[in-house]
Amino acid sequence: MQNLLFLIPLLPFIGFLINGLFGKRISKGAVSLVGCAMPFLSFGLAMLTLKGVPLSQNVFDWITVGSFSVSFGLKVDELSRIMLLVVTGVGSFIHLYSIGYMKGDKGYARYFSYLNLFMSAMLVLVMADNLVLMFVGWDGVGLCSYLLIGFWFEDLKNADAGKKAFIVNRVGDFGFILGMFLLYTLFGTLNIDGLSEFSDDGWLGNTTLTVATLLLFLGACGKSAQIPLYVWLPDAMAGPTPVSALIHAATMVTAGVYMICRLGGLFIFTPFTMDVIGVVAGATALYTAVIAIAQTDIKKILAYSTISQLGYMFMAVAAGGFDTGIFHLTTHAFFKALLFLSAGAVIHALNGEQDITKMGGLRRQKGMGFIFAVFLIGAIAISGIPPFAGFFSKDEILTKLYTHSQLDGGVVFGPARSVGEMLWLCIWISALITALLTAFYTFRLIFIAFFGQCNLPEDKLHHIHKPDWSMKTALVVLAFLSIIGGIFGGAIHYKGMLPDEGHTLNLILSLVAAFGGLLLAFILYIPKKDWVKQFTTSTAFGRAVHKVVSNKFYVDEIYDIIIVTPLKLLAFVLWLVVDRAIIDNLFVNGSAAASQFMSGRARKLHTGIVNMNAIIMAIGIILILIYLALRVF
Amino acid sequence: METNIVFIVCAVVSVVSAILVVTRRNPVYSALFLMLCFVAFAVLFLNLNAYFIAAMHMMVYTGAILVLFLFVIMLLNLKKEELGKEYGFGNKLLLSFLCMLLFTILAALVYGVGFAPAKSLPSRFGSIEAVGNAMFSDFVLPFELLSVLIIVAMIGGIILAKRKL
Amino acid sequence: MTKYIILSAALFSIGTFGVLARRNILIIIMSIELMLNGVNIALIAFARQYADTTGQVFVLMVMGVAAAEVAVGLALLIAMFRNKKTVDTGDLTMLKE
Repeated sequence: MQNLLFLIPLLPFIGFLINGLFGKRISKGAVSLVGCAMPFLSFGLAMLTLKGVPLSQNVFDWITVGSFSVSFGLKVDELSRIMLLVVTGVGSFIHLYSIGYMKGDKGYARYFSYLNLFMSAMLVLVMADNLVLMFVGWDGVGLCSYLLIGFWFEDLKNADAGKKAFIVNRVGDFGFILGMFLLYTLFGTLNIDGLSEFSDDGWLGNTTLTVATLLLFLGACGKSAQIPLYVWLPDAMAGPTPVSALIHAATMVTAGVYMICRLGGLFIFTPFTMDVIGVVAGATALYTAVIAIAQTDIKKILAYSTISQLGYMFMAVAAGGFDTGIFHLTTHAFFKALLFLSAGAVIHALNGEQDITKMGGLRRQKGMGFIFAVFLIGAIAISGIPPFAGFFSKDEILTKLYTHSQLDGGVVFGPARSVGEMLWLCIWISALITALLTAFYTFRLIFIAFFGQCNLPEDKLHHIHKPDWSMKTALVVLAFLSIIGGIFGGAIHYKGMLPDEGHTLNLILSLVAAFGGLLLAFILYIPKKDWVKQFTTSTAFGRAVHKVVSNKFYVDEIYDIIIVTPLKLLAFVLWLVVDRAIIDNLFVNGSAAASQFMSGRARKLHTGIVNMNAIIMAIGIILILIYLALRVF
Repeated sequence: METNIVFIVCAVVSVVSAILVVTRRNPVYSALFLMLCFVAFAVLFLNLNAYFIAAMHMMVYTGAILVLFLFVIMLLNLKKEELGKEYGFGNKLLLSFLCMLLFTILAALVYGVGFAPAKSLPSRFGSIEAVGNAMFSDFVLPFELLSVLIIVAMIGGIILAKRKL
Repeated sequence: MTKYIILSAALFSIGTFGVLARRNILIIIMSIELMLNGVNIALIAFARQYADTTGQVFVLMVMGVAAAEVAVGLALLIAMFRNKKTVDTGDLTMLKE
């Protein structure tokens, strides 16, 4: 098995090549077969690595310059094993789902080739044993994200969304690269084993190391959509829904969390960075949950939900709970993918309608029963209602946050708290509130779309149909995982550990938050009287709040003013002044004009009088003779 | 190489006739003064122990080249009006200054050099045997190339002067 | 010895004057002959000074070249005369830009 590791990222890459080069010429069935078989094969190979022994393979030596050498090395240990299974497993089923969802699209082969390329890049990222190779995968998934978001590029908005994703990601990549440089100067190696092996405690609080880890976190913010680089994710919903499920819910956006866990050995030595990560993540989680409660596009709600849950993962990691964060990553992959795919089924059934205010009472429609069931399972899972998956991971995170804030033991709100403890207390409270809001907005979505009276026009009603076999299979598998995934994870993790005081408190509080959110949604949206509408339209305060929140706090507009417009202005000035005036006019046209001028003057020498030539020749010879004579004397 | 009367006479004659060559308007006069110049040269060569060369000089230059010149002049048969304008006096003055400058430089280069007294000559120096010996042993290649050059010039002359190519 | 070289230089300069200052092509070709003869005198003088026959052989080469050059030059003149009916170099302005 050790020598076959390279097959895991290679097989999807071969699928990319086949579908990309020949996709137009082979039948749709062949495209689907190649496109889906490759991820499933990788999944099979990944299952084979479950034996428990860490594996590593050096495929080839890539860069060797002086004392700097980087090899294309793949490594499978406990951490990457889980990611590998999640990526290939969930990814394979999303590929399967896409067969039904993208049926009839004219870019069918292109879609599958891009999706396979993405799998390949993500697998390289996960299995890389050094930072440079990880960055190759990092950039690769960024590229595929751009390609897939702008998949239906004939509509300019989609292409713009793809551009936005790529550019914002680039800002993060810049931080990643700088972090890599600093790490190399500090340690002389970019190999992950080499970076985690030192046990010298003298590194604690080292300034350069702190700066390096902060820069790496900036990279993670770009990829995993935390403040301030989250603005691309809601726009990324312009892509096909399976893409949103795979890339922007289950795998790519979790790359940031994965990277930090990989380098956990370094982050432990920089508590300042960990605090920063905690604050940013807590703020992001709460903030995006607030935005989600006012959105009306089904995919946008799920997008903001993703950002919020990513904040959860980062909070867990920042508190030192690396495996807790990965556990939540796994369960989140299950239920978020499920939610996105069911939303896709809804959109597919309603022939493109994505606005939930235009839906309503869908559970009563013929053919929507199955979709309603899986959607409900996903919603229960994400809200943290036991015994579904989300409950276990969320509970663990809250417990971890709480214990991290109680460094000396003691009760909540006791006297003599240090700044650090207060900070983490606030983060924990923010996580609690976010849990409540998560349940709230998810069930708001369910109640508005599936309950109440139907707002759909007649033609859309006629179009409603059951999803076909590929979509159904994927949904069933993911629903199953969302139900049982948590129990197994929790059981494996907490085998033999007794619940302590903090754990009981958090258990109660998380249950309160989950059910409280559900109840709140129920109260506000089920009865005939529309409280929310009254609040937001009658009072001035209500109107203002609604306007701000539903416009995402105008962050996009602020970015536009502060960053985008000055850059465009700079580009325009550079074009006008530097490119046109200086380079074109002064240098290119100017040199042409100068040579024309001089040659015009020089042309006058050709008088055609032959004698003149001879006279000039004689003068020249005399001059040479003078020179020679002077040298002799 | 003593300064003797032969040298002085020949030098004067050649210089004077050379000046006359370049200043006459009628090309026939120029050709005849050129012949006088050549004769002076031949005598000068004799003074310098170059007997064979003197004979060759007379034969080639006055016997062939000058005759060719006169043929062409007669062939063209130019009347006085057809001869064409000449440059103005000012131009000619400037150019004469230029040529005097050239002469001065060349003379200055040579003037200070102190030549050793002439070596004693082997017997029959400059005779036809001596020149023939040198030419056909050391300088065979230039000799052969010269014959090729003459053939080429002959062909070139014929083709250039044809009425119809 | 020096005087021979000076004589040669004088003839060379006179020949140059003839080439540059006259417009009649025949005179120009004759002046070229003058220049070549000036060089011949210098060569013979050197041959006499150093008792080396090489100078005289070289003079033969120069004479051969002069003959060839005159032949071709006069042929060119005749060709030009046929086209332009003049032997004035001032009328040869076809190289004008």
